[in-house]
Amino acid sequence: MTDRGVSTVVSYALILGIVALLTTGLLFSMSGFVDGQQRDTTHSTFEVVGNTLAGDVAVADRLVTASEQPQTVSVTSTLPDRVAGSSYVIDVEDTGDGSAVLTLRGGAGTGDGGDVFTTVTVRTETPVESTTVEGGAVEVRYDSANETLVVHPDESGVIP
Amino acid sequence: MDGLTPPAGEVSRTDRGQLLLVSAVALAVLFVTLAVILTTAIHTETIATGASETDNERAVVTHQASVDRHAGESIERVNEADHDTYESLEADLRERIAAWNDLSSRHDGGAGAASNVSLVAVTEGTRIVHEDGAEDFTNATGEQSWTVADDVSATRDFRMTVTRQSLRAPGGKSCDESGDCFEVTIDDGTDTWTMAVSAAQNEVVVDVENTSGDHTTCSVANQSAEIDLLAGTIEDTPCPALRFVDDVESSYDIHYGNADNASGTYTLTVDRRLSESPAVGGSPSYEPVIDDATLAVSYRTPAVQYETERRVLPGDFDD
Repeated sequence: MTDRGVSTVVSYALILGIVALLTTGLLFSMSGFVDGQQRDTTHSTFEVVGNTLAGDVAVADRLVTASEQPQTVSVTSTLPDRVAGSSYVIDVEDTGDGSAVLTLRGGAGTGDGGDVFTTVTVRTETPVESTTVEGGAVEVRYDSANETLVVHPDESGVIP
Repeated sequence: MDGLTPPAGEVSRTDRGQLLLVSAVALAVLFVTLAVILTTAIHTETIATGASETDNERAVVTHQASVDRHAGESIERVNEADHDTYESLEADLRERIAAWNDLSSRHDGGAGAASNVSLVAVTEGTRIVHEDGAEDFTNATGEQSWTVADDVSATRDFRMTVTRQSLRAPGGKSCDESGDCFEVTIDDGTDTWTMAVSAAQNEVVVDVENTSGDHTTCSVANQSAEIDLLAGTIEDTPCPALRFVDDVESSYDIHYGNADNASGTYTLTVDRRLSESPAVGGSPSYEPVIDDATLAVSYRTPAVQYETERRVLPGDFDD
């Protein structure tokens, strides 16, 4: 009696359609949520990493100014290789008026909106060379010939 | 056969299950990605509160400060010890610094750092001492007007104690007019700075004429007066005009004039090896001293490396 006027195909299609709709909706919202989390985490990790590097640049700068003729000043900074699952790049730019700007770029992930940017400014008495390094272990070294601080990837491999 | 085929009219179950399975797998992938991201967030908190390099920086600066302090004291002690030659002075200082380095580097090694201090070079100085209070301020050959030290860049110490009895009273006239007071003249090639010491009534009077020609007078009522030309005091009373170093350019000569009109003691230390070394026993005596030392300082930890050369002056340091 319950079968009168009901077609199995229509029921089938309806159920499939509703489940598919619900599942797709769930997946989209979850994926959007995950992407948002990834961007937030990347941003806050970039802030921490950027400030750590800025602190180490400031340490190197203070050591250089503490001495009359420094021959070697080198500070190694253990930054993570990847942040939230993706690699990143650090731009160092000397503004020319006693400070340097560190920009961390990366974490494109799966979402749209492009790279995550974070900027940290550090004041130094010694000029810093403008350069770009990949994220990971980094060394801030004093170049006595040019009297500048140079940030470059750490190749020594002797990192705690 | 009846139990195997689904009853007519019912939707096939396996299709429904497949769709749910696919969506469950997709959700699982998303959850795993979320887990990775949240792990990063936790790790970020760990980095944020982790040890920064400022601890190492503090260690480097502390090490350098203690090097300065110890080396400064060592130079003083070496200068006070009885050394006849610059070679023995330098050897003594080198030994002291090496001994300190042994202890210090071992101590730093325990803290995980490699530190080192060594003597690179010393700058020779001379200490000129006149100790016999009864003798006047003429030199070993008895000259009244003579050059105590020439071509000096820095004077580390210049103190003299004169007895009032020995000073010629100007008889009411200033020393400029009578012209026979004991004088100390600093000549830097373009200007001169002069200090004349005389006695008046029961006072010792010091008359300073600086490079611009201004006169300043300081006096103290005492049998003898200790004049410190670097601290700018006479018997511990401030007399800033005495500080000739504020007035003359670097590289100057120090002369005494009318040196037979003052008796007492004096000592001064200058920053170069003077060519004249009069016979032992003469007055004053010229003793070798170390003016400053250059040290190679290095401090290395896995994260921070620091090497430099440092110039250290003798004396106590106020940190």
